[in-house]
Order: sequence, then structure tokens, then C-alpha cells
Amino acid sequence: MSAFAGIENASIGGGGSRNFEPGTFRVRLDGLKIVDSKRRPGTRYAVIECSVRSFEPGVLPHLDESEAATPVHPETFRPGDVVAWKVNMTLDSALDNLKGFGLAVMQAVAIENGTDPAGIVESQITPPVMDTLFAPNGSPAIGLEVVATAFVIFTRANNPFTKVTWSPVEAS
Amino acid sequence: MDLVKLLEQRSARSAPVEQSDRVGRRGYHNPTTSSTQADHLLASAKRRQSDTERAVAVPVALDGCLDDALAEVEGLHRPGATMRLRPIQSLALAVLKTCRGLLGSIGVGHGKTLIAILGAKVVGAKRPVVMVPPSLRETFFVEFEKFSTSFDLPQVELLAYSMLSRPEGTDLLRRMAPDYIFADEAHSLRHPGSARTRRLLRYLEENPSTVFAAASGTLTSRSLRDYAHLSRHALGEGSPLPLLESHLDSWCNAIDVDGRPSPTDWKTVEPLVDAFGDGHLCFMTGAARVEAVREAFLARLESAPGVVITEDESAPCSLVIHALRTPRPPDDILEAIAVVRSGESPNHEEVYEDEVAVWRAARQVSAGFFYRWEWPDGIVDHQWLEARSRWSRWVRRELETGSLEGYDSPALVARRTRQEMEGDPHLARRSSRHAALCEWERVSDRPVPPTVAVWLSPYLVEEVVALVERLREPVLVWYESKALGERLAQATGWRLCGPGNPPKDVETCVVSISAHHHGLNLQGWRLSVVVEPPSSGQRWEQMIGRTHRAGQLADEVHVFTFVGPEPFASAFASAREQAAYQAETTGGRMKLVFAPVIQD
Repeated sequence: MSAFAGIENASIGGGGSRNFEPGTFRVRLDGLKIVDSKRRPGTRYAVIECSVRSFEPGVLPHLDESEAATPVHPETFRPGDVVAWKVNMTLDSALDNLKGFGLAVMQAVAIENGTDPAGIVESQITPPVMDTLFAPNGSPAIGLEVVATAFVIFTRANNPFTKVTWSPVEAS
Repeated sequence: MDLVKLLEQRSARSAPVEQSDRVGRRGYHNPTTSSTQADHLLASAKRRQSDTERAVAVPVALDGCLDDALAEVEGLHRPGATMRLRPIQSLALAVLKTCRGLLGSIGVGHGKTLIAILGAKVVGAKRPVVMVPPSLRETFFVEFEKFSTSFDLPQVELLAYSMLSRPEGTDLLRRMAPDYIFADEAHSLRHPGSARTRRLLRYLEENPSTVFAAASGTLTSRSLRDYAHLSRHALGEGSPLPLLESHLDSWCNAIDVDGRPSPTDWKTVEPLVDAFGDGHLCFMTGAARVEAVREAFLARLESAPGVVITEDESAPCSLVIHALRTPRPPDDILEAIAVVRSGESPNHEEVYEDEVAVWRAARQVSAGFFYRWEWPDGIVDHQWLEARSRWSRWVRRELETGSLEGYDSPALVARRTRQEMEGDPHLARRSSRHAALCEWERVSDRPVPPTVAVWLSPYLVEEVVALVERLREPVLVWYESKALGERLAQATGWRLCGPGNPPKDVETCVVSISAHHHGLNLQGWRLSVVVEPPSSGQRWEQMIGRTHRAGQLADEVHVFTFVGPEPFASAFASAREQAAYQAETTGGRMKLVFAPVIQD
């Protein structure tokens, strides 16, 4: 069964990030893979590895809104740095997050192809599309440039959480 | 719109990547410096090669491509000099000159020191640095003197790995600003998470024009991860190993000793087997698949420009290993091992924290003793133990997830945590990490309780003494546990060669494995007794290489070890498995693999 079974019914919403920090990244997609966790048997991750082309730093907000947000240092990421986005496929939000990513990638492909990116809609992001994008070798998404926007939100338990959204380059 | 069709169109349209004849230098990580380069990078970004396909597509080094460089390096000796470069030294230097990077699986005793020094000359380095384990500093200076009579050697800065590990070493490389770094005994850098490796990798990331060479006789013990990061920085885009974590993960799962490959992993390594192996993975199962991938990987590694592998043996003599099944441990030792395996110390005073502690204790009991804390008045300080354990866990976590310059060693983590609390004292209550440090600092000045060895049986000590007497020649008696080394020295009067005290005169002596297993020239001896067999194939290779190396005048070198106790037998088996892994994946003749093992 496809690792993306059920993605038709997902909606673009939540996000997860481990290596991104607040800011806007123009990245090149270097690797898209589904990997099995060694530490947690049965858990699969979708891993997207990218190299940074440019980075505009964002801010780290504080829970106490009266305190000014701390700017992220502009040198935190430099061109050539590698960042990874890892999505735990067992989480409910995983397909939502990946659908957003898939949509951005497909819109980027459309732009590259000279077609209108508005023609690509959520409902077209199906398991076969995602399986093709995440093929271990020969993924047509490798080499594409997309925009990742990372920002901090606070969870219900008031823990900071870095969320990542994706868009095609022209839409930035 | 059919999106799958759209993707197929992109695949069909994208041009295949062109490979230059010469290996690219870290192009994937090179900040764009000109619009031409940027255009080129953008153009190449349109490719759809995966990282595995890139590693497979690295060009094969062709015969004759090093001829000019070889001719040049072979003229490096002084006129009339008696010493000449060995063929492997010439090859490694020619590779360094041509590729401006080197990954060397160069066997013990093949002369890496001279390669390291002359490498600085052939690449035209202005600020060369050679990195060595601290125990080899003295040997390096002796060899430098020796070589200087035959070669015009450049001045190089010698840097012990331990210097890089200290808190003040955090910006050491930045201050030295080397343009050439040769990492000798590069297995010392196999853990990317250690302070020294992080600091080196950070410097190389920030200074991509630095020529980096990594060489060791034991580049790996269990995993491609032992040297994938070194290959990446030595050879850049020309690395024959994956650069991306996700692809490296698949290769490791398919190739490593402990690999557990999933269908995705097999799919990922398919291009490797297609290009460098025989047959197709889909027609194979089980061990045949692993073997096929390992063979393909070795062919890929050997053929990559910038990689030098020794296939011959430096020692001019044969090697025999004796695995002694006697003595069997007496019953009281077997009972104590059973108690340890249940997670408790033999006297039931201590509960071991993890599997590593159990494993270590089982080995000590196999040698006839165990260590215990000697708490003053017998009162166990649980507060001290818990605070130490909790803070250590935080340090490990911080170093794994947030390491940066100035924040990459336990001391620096403590320093910054302390500073943060000075700025905001509430952190001591709000943050678990800061609270852990506070708790630890409250008790850290209490004296560390001494450990004492409790002897259960002298059976192994007595057997070693009897064996050495039977051998009637000077023997290197290798030990791992300090208590065992001291006991042997006390019982016999043999010289104890602990840290900082290497064997000198050719006589029977008791030698610390951890202090002296690498770097020393001990060809004066031909017999070794390894009392506590290490479980690391690397350590065995290095240790045997002290006596079984170039310059050994005896016809045969013998190594005796004890495999009677089960923990020792499994350690020896594990070491042989690791040696076989290294031989299969990086080539070369591993002593534990080619030497006959006689079960006595």
C-alpha cells in the first residue's frame, strides 16, 4: 500500500519541522525519501532534504506577547547549508503537511512547464503523485526550487513549535 | 490535469547530469561566488539524479590518469638519498596532488606519516596541519627526523586530537587557519557527534578550499557512517558515498553489520548494484543480497578518484592467532557472570544502569574481578549518583541536538547553562536542563568515591603467567582493565606499561590496550597475549599491527587470546565479524580475516 494512502482526504494545515528555524528559505530539493525508523519499529518518516539557496531570517516570538520577538541571526543559514524536514507518518497531521508540500512542488513543476500553477489543486495530490515524488531514485522533484516558510507557534501546552509551509518560488 | 503525466514529462525533459573528468570540490556546499557559477548550479539543479545515483555516477579513475603526478612525486627524495617512497606512498601522494583530497584505507605499517608530511608539499600548502592521536606525537617527531635525511620535508603543525577535544579547542582550527589537514589514524574522527569531529567538520564547512585527507588502516568497524562524513569533506561531490542522510541511511541498512534493510532501502541501493555488481537484487534473497551490495560498494569505493586502498600486507612475515578455549571459568565466576547478566553487581550492591554497564561488568568478571564503589562508611550517596546521571543525560542531548562553536563540549554546555541562569535566575526552576545543572553543582564537589577491584578468582592471571613461561620469549601481555594489568605486574614483576609509558626494552611487559594499541613500532616482539579480547575489529587490527608490520624480522608472529569465558568468546567473534565487514566493504587485508585462527 502506498505510504500516502488517504492523502486525498487530507487537508493542508498543521506542520512539523526539526531543522528549519524561523525565516523564509528558498531551497533546492536534494532528496525525498520515506525511511523506516530504527528506534521505533513500525514508524515511518517522510524526509525532505534541501540545500539552502537563500535565507531571510524570521523571529522567535515569546509566550509573553509584551516582550519583543527575538530576531533570528541572518547567518543562521547560508547558501549551501543542508536542512531537512522530517514528517512522522504515524501522526494525524502528517498527510496534511505533506499535501501542502506536494501541492507546492506540483505548482513549481507547472510553472517550470509553462502552465498555470492555479490549475493544480489539492484534490490532485493523490498517492500516485506522492509516490512518484518520493521514489527512492529518480524523483522528478529533485533539483526543483521551492520556498519554505518557517515560523514559531505555541502549542496548547505553551511549548514553542516550528511550523513549515511550502510554496512554489513564483508565489513567494 | 494528470499530475503523474506532468511529472513524467519533467523526467523526460530534464537533461542527464554531465560529469566532469575531474572530481568536483565540495560544489554542493560551496556558496555561490559568481553569477556564472550560480547559473551553472541552477542549471545543474534541474537534474533529477538522486544522491545514490550521484555516488554511482562519480567517474571511475582510469589507468594512467595519475602518471604525471606519480612521476613528479617519485622525484621528491633528496639526491643520493637511501630512502625511497613505497608504491602506496607514491600513489597516495599522486592522488592528493590530482584530486586535492584523499580518503585512504591504508593498512597498518604502510607509512602514512610520510604521506601526511609530504602531502603538504605536493598540494602546495602554506599552513599544513597533521592530526594524530596524542600517543603518537612522540613517534611522529622521531619519524620526521628519520625521513628528513632522505626528503626535503615541509614544516607542518602537529595537532593531537585531544587538543581539539578540549573546551579551549572550540576555535583552535579557526586560529590556526590550516589550508591542508591530514587526519592520520582517521578512525579517531569516526563519531560525527564528538567535540573533535564536530569542530573539524565545522572548520571544513566554513573553509571549503582546505585540502582534507583522511587515512587509517581501520577506517571502519561496523558502519559506513564511520567515514561517510570524512569522505564527503575529502572528496566533496566526488564522494563515492551518499552525501544526504536519507540515502546514507539506506546504504547503511543494506551494507552495515547491524543493517536491517527495508524494501525502500533495497530499492535505494539498486543503482549501485546495477552499476558495480553482478546480477540484479530482485533475483536475490537474504545474505546473497547483502553480499551483492557489499561487493558492489567495494567496487564503487575502489574505483573512485581520490580513494586509495591497500590490498597487500605490509608485514613480511606470517601471522597466526591462537584462540585459547581453556581455561574455562571456574563455577564461582560463572555464577557471578549470571548475576551480572541479571543486571546486578556480583555482590548485589549495585544495579547497572544500562546494557553497556552489564557488558563491561561481565567482561571484568570473566577476567576474575569486579569493581565496586567504596563509599565512605558504606553509605551510598544516591543524591550524588542521580544528579550526576541526570546532568550527563542533558549534556548528551544538548551536544546531539544543539552543538555550535563555543557550545560543543560538556564543559561548554555547563558554562553556557550557568551563564543563562546568571541572566535569568528563574531558569533554575522553569527549565529542566538548568535545574539539572543546579542539582549537580550542589553535590559535584563531593569527593568521587573510589572504586576498588574485588577479586573473585585468580584463574586467568595464573593461566597468563603459565602461558608466558611456556613461550620462553619476551611477550607483550595486553590488558584492558587497570586492575588486571596491575595484578599481573604485581604477581610477576613484569613492567607495567600504562598510559604515557610505552614498552621500550624487549622484555615481557604488561601493556595497556587503550594506551598503546596504535602508532607504536613494536617489531622487537613477535609474541602477544591478549588477556581481555576487545570486541572492536579496529582495535584488534591496530594492536596486532604493532608487531605484525614492516620491519618485523621474525618469520612468524603469534597472537594468543582467551575465548573460554563466553563474554570473551563473543567479543572475539564480534571483532572478527567487524574485520570481515571492513575487508568486504573497504578492501584491504584485515589481519583478523586472513590470519589462520587456531582453536587451542
